[in-house]
Amino acid sequence: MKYLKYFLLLILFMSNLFSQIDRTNKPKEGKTPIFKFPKIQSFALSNGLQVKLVEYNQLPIIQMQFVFGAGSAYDPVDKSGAFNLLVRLLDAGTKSRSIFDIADEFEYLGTRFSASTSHDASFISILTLKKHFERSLSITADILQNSIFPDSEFHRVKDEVITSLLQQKDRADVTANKIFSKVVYAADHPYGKPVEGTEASLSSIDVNDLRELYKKYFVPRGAVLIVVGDIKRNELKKQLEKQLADWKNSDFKIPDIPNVQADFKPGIFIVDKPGAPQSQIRVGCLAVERNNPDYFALEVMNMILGGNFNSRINWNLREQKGYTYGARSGFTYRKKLGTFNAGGGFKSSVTDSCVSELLNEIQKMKESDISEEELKFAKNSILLSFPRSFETPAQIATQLANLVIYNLPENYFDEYLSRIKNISIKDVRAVSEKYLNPEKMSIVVVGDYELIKNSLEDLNFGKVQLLDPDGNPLN
Amino acid sequence: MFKQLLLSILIFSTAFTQVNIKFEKTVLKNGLNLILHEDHSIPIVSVNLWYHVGSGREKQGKSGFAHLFEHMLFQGSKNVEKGDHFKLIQDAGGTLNGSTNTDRTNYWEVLPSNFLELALYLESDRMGFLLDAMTQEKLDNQRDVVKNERRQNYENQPYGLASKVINENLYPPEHPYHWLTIGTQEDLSNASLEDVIEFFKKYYVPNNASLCIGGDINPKEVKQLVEKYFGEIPRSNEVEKLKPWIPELKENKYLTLEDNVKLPRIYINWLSVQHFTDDEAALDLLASILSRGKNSRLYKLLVYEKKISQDVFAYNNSAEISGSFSIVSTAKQGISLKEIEDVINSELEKIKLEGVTEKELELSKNETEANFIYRLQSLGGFGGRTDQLNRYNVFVGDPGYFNEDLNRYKKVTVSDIKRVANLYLKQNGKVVLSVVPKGKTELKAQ
Repeated sequence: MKYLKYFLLLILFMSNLFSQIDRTNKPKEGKTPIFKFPKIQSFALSNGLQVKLVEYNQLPIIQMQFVFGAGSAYDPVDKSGAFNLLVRLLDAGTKSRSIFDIADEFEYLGTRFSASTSHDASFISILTLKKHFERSLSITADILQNSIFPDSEFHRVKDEVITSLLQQKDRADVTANKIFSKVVYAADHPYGKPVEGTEASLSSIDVNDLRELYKKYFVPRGAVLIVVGDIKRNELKKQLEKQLADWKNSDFKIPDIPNVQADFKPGIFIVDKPGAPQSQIRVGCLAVERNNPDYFALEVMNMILGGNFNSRINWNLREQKGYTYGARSGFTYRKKLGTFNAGGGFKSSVTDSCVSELLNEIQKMKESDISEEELKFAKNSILLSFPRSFETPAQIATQLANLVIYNLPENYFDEYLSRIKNISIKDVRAVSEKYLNPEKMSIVVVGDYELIKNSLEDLNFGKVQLLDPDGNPLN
Repeated sequence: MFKQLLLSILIFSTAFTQVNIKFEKTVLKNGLNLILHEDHSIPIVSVNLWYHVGSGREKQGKSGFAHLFEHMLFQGSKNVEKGDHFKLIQDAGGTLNGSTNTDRTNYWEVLPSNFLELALYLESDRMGFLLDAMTQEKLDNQRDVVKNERRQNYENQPYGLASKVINENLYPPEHPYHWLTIGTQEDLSNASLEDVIEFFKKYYVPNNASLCIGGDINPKEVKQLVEKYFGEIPRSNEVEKLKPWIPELKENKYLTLEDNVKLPRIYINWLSVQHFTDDEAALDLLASILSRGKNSRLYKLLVYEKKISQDVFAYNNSAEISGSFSIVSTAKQGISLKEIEDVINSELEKIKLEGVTEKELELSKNETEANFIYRLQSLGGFGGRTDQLNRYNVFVGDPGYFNEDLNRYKKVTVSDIKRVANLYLKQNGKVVLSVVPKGKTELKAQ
């Protein structure tokens, strides 16, 4: 017995010694797990409000998101920033609650209330513990129906927004994005105007403008309510009918956002930031609307060009050259034409090289086919990552909100996967040729003008123009 | 092979906020801590790996190492080419990242559950075989990348260097919290390959690491896989624990920084206390009472009523060996920071004398409790459940510390709030930094 014990120990020892695994072969994946998209239950309330529910039982919480079909693209003419002010003031007081009553009640319940707007839509989000659902809904119902937009709160918030516009000018990345939008869109299109407005547009907004927009747009028939949480359909419907029964509609019909007219402005637009150690660069153009059938091929193409860490642009400018902490490209999709741009923050001394490298990568994508390997990688990373975007209630709500805003069918998620699967090298090439034209791109740089202007002029990419931080031409 | 330490079962009670996350902890022979957390709600897994090392382990003149090192871990190892770490994970539909602070460095992957083995392979290859693939060229490239990160996130950001000046004045030069985690441009330039190798050998060892794997997993299979990939990496010398070191500030330091900003901003800072102490909880709640919502003390005074501030934030930042408490407020145009400081000071003195109300404390506690639940929504990523389990394991030795942690907040009383306000937010013994627009030093606090 004694010897046997030693023998066994010896075997154990030897097997440990030789258990070094072969690391030259990477492990193969296991069987693909099954993922089912969350089941959407849709119904309407008697006041016309559409409701979409996804039951989620992992935690005793409920996420509600009201999606309104209008955002800052619907700001009255010369009053850009009105929707943004409106959403910021929704919880500033109702007929029966002061701004502090609302804040205290939500805090007491541990409920998070937030409201925001984009060009295409506006949102009210409420995250609540299940046990406080009824009370959270009741405060929300009051806000939806009885917000009064007190004069004093209006002036205070307007002043805060004007001050934040001033603060934004300190930030090179924010400035670059704003100037880029202003440069690519024609002056009269709402997409070229910032969601928060400008100092001039804000000063022409009156509190009654907000009250009017609230009456017109924040109505049951103009909204869809998305609920993801630990609640059953019947219980939800009962609560909503009870608390939102008096929420009234208006006769107003939401018009279409005007079509985007091409207004190409060639050249390099610089906003001066003396002494800046980095230049923020944006190179891009108008692109497509969200519902364009080319969407799927563009997503695949961008993944390869600048949509991930190993993309051509980041690999070249970060991992090969060390010019940046990160470079990327991407599309912004909207109801009407959105944009494409490539860029990032780059060491000031190499600003010109970075502009031309970005343009080279775009040109290369247009001129030649991607490889089989690139196609496979891009498709895999999009397709296999999809389940991850349905993890938390807020993520699920966001996915559903996109269906609502862009009028996509409820079976869209399946369609999305099959459309991506079917993209070929040819499809990618076709959209690259169609949308990526370096000679039709505008270039925006926020950086040290004196340091970078000569080398940018030497690129011979059109006139170098100096703009002020609001995007107005200087000199 | 595995020592069974703890087994807990998922119970979720809503009556009293009780947070019980199902997990199982074991320790490999080489000292690697392994925490498994099963959850089959969607077919993904999270692999979250903590090394108990941050910039707090750096020495004077060698700042920025722990973070530069985090970058080097993405540059390939013996069997993984540069770039392949990202490529393989993303090809599998996964995502990944890493981060460094004063006390720890974490790396994570979230990917479809059938690719779990790939993530274990990659993490173990760089834990065991990184140096085989380390080159001067890779170091030079990542040093440039980190210098750009510093330009982007500090030098070219408004107020971006405030935290540097504050830390340098709260802590003496020998204290490792004296410098920023990102380091200085000079120290980064001086980092040699030898320094980097030495750092790795000392801290990137299984007995200084905690691996948490969560999601759609079979714990038995995962244990075998972890043993297969990590088991052969040898244990190294024990890493000595860092001792708490809270310096004493006996007088006020008023400093001014001119920056490319439109509006002045004041930063008032005190030294506080280490994390996971009772006073940390009281200070967190005090911070919340000062600036949390519209009805909070300082927001109401500065932003709402007097309208002299654009914003105000109070926060307690407790870390492994020390901590600090800060109040930060941005002035409206034309307002001097002196005016803002006076309002803050008199409100603090009021709280020190009269304390806060039961209602104020209750609101802050309710919000804290709700946040404990809300933050359980994500499995992986920064702050996800697997990250939280690792955090508790690394700092208090118990991954399931959720309820004890919450209890620290529940048991705070109004008299605790008054006590910590008096104890830590001293009239004499603070660092007050004024960041003002270039040429506008007349707007500074003192």
